[in-house]
Amino acid sequence: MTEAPLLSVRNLKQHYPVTKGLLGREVERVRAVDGVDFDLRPGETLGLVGESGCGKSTVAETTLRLEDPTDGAIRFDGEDVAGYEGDALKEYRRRVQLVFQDPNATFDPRMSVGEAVGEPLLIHGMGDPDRRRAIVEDLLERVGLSAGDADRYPHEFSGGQKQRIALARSLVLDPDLLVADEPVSGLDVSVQASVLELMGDLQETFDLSILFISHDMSVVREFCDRVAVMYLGEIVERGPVEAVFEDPQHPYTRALMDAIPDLGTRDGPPPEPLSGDVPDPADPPDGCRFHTRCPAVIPPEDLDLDRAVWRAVYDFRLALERHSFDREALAERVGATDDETLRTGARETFDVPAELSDPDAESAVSTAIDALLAGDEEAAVDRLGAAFVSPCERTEPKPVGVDRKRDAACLRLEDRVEVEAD
Amino acid sequence: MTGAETTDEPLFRSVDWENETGRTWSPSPSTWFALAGLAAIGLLFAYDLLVVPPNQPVVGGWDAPIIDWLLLVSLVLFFGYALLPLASQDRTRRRLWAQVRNRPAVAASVAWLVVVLLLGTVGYAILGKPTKHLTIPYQPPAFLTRDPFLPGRCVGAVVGGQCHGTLQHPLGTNVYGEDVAKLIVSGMRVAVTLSLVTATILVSIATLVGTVAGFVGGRVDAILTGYVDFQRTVPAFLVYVIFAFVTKPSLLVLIVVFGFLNWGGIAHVVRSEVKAVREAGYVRAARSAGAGRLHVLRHHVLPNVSGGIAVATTRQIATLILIEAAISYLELNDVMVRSWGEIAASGMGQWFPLNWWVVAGPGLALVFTVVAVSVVGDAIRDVFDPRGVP
Amino acid sequence: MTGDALLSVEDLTVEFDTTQGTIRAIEEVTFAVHPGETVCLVGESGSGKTVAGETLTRLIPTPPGRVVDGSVTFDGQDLTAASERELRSIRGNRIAHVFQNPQNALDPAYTVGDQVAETIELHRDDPNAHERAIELLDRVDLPRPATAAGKYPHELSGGVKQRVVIAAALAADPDLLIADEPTTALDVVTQAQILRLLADLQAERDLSVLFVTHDLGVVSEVADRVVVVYAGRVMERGPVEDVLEDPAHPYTRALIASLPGRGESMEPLRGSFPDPVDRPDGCLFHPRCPHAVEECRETVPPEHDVLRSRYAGESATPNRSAACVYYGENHDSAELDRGEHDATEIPAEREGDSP
Repeated sequence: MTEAPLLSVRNLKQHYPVTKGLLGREVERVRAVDGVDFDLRPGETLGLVGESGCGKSTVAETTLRLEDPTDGAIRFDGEDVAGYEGDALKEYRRRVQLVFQDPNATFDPRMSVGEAVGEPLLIHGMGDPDRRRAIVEDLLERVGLSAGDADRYPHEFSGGQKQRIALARSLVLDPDLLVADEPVSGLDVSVQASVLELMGDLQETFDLSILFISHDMSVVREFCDRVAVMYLGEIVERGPVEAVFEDPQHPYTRALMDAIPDLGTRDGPPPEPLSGDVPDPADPPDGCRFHTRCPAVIPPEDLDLDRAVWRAVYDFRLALERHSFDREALAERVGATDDETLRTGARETFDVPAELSDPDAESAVSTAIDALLAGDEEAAVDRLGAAFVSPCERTEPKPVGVDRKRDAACLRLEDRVEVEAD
Repeated sequence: MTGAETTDEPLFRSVDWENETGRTWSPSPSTWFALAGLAAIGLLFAYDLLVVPPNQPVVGGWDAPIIDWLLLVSLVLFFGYALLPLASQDRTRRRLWAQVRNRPAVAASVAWLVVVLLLGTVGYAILGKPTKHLTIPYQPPAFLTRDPFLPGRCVGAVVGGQCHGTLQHPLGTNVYGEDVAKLIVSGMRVAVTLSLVTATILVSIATLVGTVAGFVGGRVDAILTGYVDFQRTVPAFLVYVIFAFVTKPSLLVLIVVFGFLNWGGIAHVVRSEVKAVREAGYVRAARSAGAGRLHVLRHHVLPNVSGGIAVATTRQIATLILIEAAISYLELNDVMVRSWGEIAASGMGQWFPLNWWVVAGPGLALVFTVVAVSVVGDAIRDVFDPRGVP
Repeated sequence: MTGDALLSVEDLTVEFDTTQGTIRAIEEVTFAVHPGETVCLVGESGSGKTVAGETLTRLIPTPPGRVVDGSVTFDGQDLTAASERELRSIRGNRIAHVFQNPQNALDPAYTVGDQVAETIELHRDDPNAHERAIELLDRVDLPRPATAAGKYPHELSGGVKQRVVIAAALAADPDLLIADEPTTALDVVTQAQILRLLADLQAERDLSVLFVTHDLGVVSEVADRVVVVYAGRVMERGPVEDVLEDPAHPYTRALIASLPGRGESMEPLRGSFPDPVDRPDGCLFHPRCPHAVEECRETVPPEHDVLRSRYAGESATPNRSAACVYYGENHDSAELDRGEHDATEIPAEREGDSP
């Protein structure tokens, strides 16, 4: 590692306690960000991708100290930011700027564009309105608008133009780092390209570092040097953008890549998407947070089942642990009440085959189903819980280096277990 | 057209941030005006207090009761913080003009209110109180006749047994021979005083409480909102009536009671708008650029809240004017205060409806004013609505 | 493509009266959807694609909107001439809509099960509407559908809500589904799930789908045929493989070239969308087109057949067309491949406006 990183985040956590009652007793905590590490080098663009609710926007706000983190260290240019107050904080807020997603909400409708772009200058003490005006007009020209636009109001501009104005505003204080939170997500496709091109030019000309947050992987692929993939408050994979996208190492990254519609014709139908929804960040799964949906979840050592079948059986066990078994609903569904049909029906609901190839697994499943039909849910859960334990639910994976430039947090990498290609 | 291909160093890079001066606290033009105006009033007050002997008029025939000082202060604040910003900002001025131009109701309302404001202040100062002419009660309005039963001699021509009105008293006279037109001007004075002074009290308290509650949030918000909810259950009308019975009725008491009890609704509006602005994207942007709370408050919160305040306040004022009329009708007012309600109510004695012009004149003025205030309130809301076309 | 079209739209033109003037939202739009087929209407802001989708069942408020010309024929019936009553019996029943934001389509005051059942109750005399609703929720892959039916919209995630909306849309077993950006508000994984679900449902019920979107990736996944719309007019139409891999119209080419992350260099599209009140003469795209010639400014080009295709399928003519003079008689479309024309052809004041 040659150059020291401009921004260095370690073990960043942002928890939101949910309280109840007058005394504010904490009932649960939403773990929006739960231990995030990354570095951003000078002049680099780091992409932070993930689905909604993964915590990436929270990372942006916490990095800028728009919210104070629950835990963790944020170092900017070598210094710890968490302790900044007063003037030091203000200087930090000059050197690091934020660009938002929604160009419509990011401007005060009562202020002209010139006033909006010049506002940061005013905040940082430039009292002379003529001087501010000159700087603003010059900057507007450089983002593809004209000096005369300074007197117009935000609603007179298109989405793409507003985003250019937002970029101008973010540059006016001559920052070192831009945090761009979904900067092109609200724009038309053809407009995205020109705003991205502008951002790229500005970055090059003014030697900016950019933390680029997006859910759109194609945009990240186009624009960023490196990328970090987030899931449920944690970073699961990190590395140069092409490497990560071409050859993802973490099953979640792979699922994301598979889900991106490909413009060209695939050979055959698109791969099966991930099932289920992202779990509640207030109650994240134990061990590896992705284990509840991971197509590559590690089976117990001596289990001999097809990967898809193992996943189905595992889902069966997890579902029973979370929700109670409703015999009547099942009966209604299969249209019968006799045990035999119910047994098959229960298996079908979870895509578990009628007979499993592994005899131990088969006995566990059928015993559990019998227990369910007999009304003893606890026994069923215990039986399945004993037979189908994955190391992924026990241990939280730590990032493992895939090569010198990338890492991913997956137990399969630690065990050097072969990750099956789909 | 992507910009940034220039060779020269951009201006924004030439700023030496290490050595930029810090604070730039400059009061807005409104504040300058308000300070100047209040200083002038202060001088006048000092003059009255220290130089002029007690019970002597200060200047002309004016002996400066408290309520008049309050009116002066309110006028200064109204001009400074309401009219001046509306007129000086390009955008609001254009939009207000568009409203006036495109909607005849708005144009008429604004015109009427301007008339009321001018006549109620300057006009009244010039014309003074209506004089009693006990010999000529119940003169009919110009070009009209009156029922022969009405007492008093006729100023105008008597044709066929009917007394005709004259232009000397274009709207007729009341039982004391006071000119109805001048009475209406008196009523304007009362309406202006009532509206502006009460509005000043309402807006000041409501803005303060609403902004603190919306901005600070948490427990402070909960306490303030709780109090406001409680206060809104207290009927100001009843409180005034009690005061009127216990002490003597007075306009000042009415103003104070309403001013200090009816700000809850406005505070509520302020609070929700402050909360909305606080969450807005542009406030986040300002904060991320280093803005402190004060900057956000002054540059973003208050300007965006002013529309809501204007609308809610005009509504309160319209109601208050009507309530004052009701109070006059119930004879719970200070009869020396010649409000429209008082004039109309006094005309509804034994001779009504023969002396209808005594009721109609101020009655219509009342109706026009209440409607005008509401219409202008809506127009202001449209001016401030960001979705409108400039 | 042989066989009668289920939906046939011809020369549809819709205008809106606004305070700034009359806007032509769509103009002379022609396309067809055959049974079992998925047709995508692709366009960006101002393309008129949503108006097109909503005009078919007259969901557009008719003041200020107005169908100026054209016809919409569904299963032999002219919908533009149909009465409101007839249309109401078609909406939901034979033609169903799925919109972009599931939260806007669901009433927060009713449970999800009630809302699916409502569609059934409107069009079918089914005493077991609620059981049917639960079956439908099951069919759209909601886990524990009976419990889900009792939940309110705000208790559910975006992806689940969209499934509910789809279930409600399919409740009366329609022939045609008009989906307007159904996955735009969803994450990429949820989007993939929903698209997969739609594909399965379509195959199962022999459903025809008109899919309105701006996302070319989605188009490549779901479409059989594509209709590319710009500023209210159709620019190109054809089989999806042809249009996406070998685009004919300069707009389509520019649009595809401006997509990020494809591994090829990203080329932004210059200029900005035309002002809806003050549209350019001639070809609506000509101010931004690198190949524009004088003719482009003078006349609106009709749709010319494009006689090349990698996937001609069974028919000799590939059923592709593009509204561009280069596919007409006097020009050679190969010129479009040869790079940009003399820049002086392009009207100076329009070029270079940043979008």
